Amino acid sequence: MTIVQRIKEAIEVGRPKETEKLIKQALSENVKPSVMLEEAMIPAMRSAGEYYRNNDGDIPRILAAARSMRKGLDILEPYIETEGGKPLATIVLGTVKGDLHDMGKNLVAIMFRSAGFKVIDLGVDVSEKEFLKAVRKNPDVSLVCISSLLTTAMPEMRHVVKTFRESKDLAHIKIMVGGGSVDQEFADDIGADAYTETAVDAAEKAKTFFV
Amino acid sequence: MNSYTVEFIHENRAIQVEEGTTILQAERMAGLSPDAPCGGSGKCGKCLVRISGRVENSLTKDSRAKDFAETDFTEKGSPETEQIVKACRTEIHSDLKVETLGRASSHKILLDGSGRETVLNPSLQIWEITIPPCKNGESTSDWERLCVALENACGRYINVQPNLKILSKIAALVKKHKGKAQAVLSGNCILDVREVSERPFLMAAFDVGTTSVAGYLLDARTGEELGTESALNPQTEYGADVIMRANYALERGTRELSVSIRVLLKNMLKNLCEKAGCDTEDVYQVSVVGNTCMHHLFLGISPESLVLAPYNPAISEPLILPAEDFRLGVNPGAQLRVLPVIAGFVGADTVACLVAVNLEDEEKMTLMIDIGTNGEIVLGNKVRRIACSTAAGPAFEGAKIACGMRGAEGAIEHARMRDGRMECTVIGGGKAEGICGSGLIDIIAALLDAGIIDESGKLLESPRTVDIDGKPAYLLFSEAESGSGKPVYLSQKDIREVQLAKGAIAAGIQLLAVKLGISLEDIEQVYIAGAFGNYMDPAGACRLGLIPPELFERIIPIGNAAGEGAKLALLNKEEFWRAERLGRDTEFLELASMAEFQDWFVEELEFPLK
Repeated sequence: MTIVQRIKEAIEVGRPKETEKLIKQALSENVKPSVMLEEAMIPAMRSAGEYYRNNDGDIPRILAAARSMRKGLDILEPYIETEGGKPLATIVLGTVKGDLHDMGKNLVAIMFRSAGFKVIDLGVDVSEKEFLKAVRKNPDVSLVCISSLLTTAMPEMRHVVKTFRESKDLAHIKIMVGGGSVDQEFADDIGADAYTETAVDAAEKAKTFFV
Repeated sequence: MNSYTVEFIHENRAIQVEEGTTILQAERMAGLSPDAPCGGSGKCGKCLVRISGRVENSLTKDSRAKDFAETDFTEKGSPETEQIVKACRTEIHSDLKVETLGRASSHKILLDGSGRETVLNPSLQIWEITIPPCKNGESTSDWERLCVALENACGRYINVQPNLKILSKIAALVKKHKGKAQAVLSGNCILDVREVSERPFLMAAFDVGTTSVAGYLLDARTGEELGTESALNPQTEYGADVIMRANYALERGTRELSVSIRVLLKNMLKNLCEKAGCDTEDVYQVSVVGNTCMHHLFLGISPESLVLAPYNPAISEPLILPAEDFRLGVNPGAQLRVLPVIAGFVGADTVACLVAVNLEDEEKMTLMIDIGTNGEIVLGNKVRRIACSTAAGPAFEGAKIACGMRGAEGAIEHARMRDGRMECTVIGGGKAEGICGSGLIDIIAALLDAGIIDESGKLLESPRTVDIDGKPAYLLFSEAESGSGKPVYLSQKDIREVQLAKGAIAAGIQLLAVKLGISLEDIEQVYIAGAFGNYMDPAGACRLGLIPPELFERIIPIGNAAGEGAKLALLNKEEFWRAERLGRDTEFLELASMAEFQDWFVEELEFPLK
């Protein structure tokens, strides 16, 4: 098995430490980061997503896969940024103010990255102002993803969507919501453009806006 | 070959066996159902028995059973004749008396573990006093004369705070009873003056849980427990978990929720007193502990800050308040004592547990875990303690599990694999209707051992692996075999839920250890609080990796330690102040935003290899 294949497998089955080790090894063996990304990491994440869908929501495994992917990206990021390549679209995402939970949001970020999006991750406890600021600062942003786990943060989510809708200059921005507290009904109610139950589906859904 | 008589004390049964038979074999021959999930390989330590009689040869082939034996000697004190050994590894070479240590023993440990002894030294005091009448020509006030009477009785000056409520009683007492009275004090507060009588004066302790509430009535004179009472928390109708209840409070105000729990406590007090043949009027002190959300809702404080980042409590200090403000139906002068909280998700119940195990004076490195909807974890000793809360979810309470249920009649509480079949113990002894937390752990542990679940948590093919709604599941009881007419099974998704819950707790333990700069091996004892801890089989919990396997022999279930702590805070005033120090000096670690937490969490999602 080549090292690229081994990286792919390490991510698929979700072994962050092994992934880290293998990627470092591959770098020292002068394997191109773009090759690792395109032939190992992204396909691995897609197949992890498929596996997730076909195996009754194996959350532990997809989280582990995402963690492995994240570890890999952290190492490769300095090399990849310079290589460039046109992203499908640029998204801003964050966990809404009042909530510090980001496991799901991080998974969404990874799935979006793997699907070819550029992701600007604002982190957790993100206020409406920070969302607006990030979008205005990055004119290429066309989608905002807002997450919350705790139901208590739902009013804030509603508030953020409302502010976006009332800002004329941001009319072109699509908004997706997700997280443990959210369902389709709530998403419709607050006027979000889309909701998906799982992080894996989120990126697929987002693609439909841009293809 | 010689044969010997083996007598099983609890079961009142005796059989003859041949020399060299193991005790485990003898138990089976006698028709008992010994617990030996490792199949008698000496690994699991579940078949321990206490033996007495003349014993020869190598009674035990490994050192672990000896350790058990030694620890027990200190308690029983007869090392020549008594020993605790693994039944599976012990051959019979003489006549023996065998005491099986199944459930009875875990119950015993529970009482030993939680009931820490304390000196009876309540802040609540009663003094027989004589209030002199006011002499003609003088104008000393009733209050002044009461204070003098008190000083005479106690033999020291007490700087009491004037209490208007009892003033009007003084004149009547002086007139009718020549000033003879009983004064009830807590510190320098007079709570009541009353006629001299044999009436008791009482205290009550409450542990307000999200789901259930436990109450204890105590005699302040003797420290005796006069009764206990438990009830479901009526706030459940406003939401099953703390987040839902907080949401309700944020949307519609805190009042409804506050009233609902206060009314419950009032009714429980009434029941406790009625059963003990006492009057609620004689209850002078009430202590309350609960998780931070229950604490806030009881006190009538909005839980808003608890559920929005950064999740801080509105108040964390210990409180001494007039009980009257909470309409508990107790004596109008009674005092409410509320233990402190540590953080938004580490509450007064955790502090009470720390009081119950006295972590403040503990030399040993101690891990204390309370597994409920949130798993609160504290690691440390007298030098330093750190607490955290993990969103373990309610899987171990039976929620989110396909056939999950609470630990009630019909629930599978224990299970093990024998000859390829899952043998289940059902609460109440009838047919199985579902699985409760302890059963869930046993079932998964047995399936892991049998190789039917792999370490990634995947349910593999087996004679009992079936398709339910198109998804793989392990069938425990078919429709015909179950008590509900529906199949009882463990689904793939259930296993995933358990992985998430145990991953969160295990990761929390790891991070606390990292933060303290110790390794898991350094942890000398593990206290498991709460009802689930009582019934949970430590071997299974370790098999799943919920508790680090290397700590297996150090696990001590401590039952409702929160309730014990609430009682201790009344029985000895020093314990209340200990609670204050424990609350203040226990550090808090917020896991939600730690990147390392997610690393550990992912690491801990898999089940350990055998």
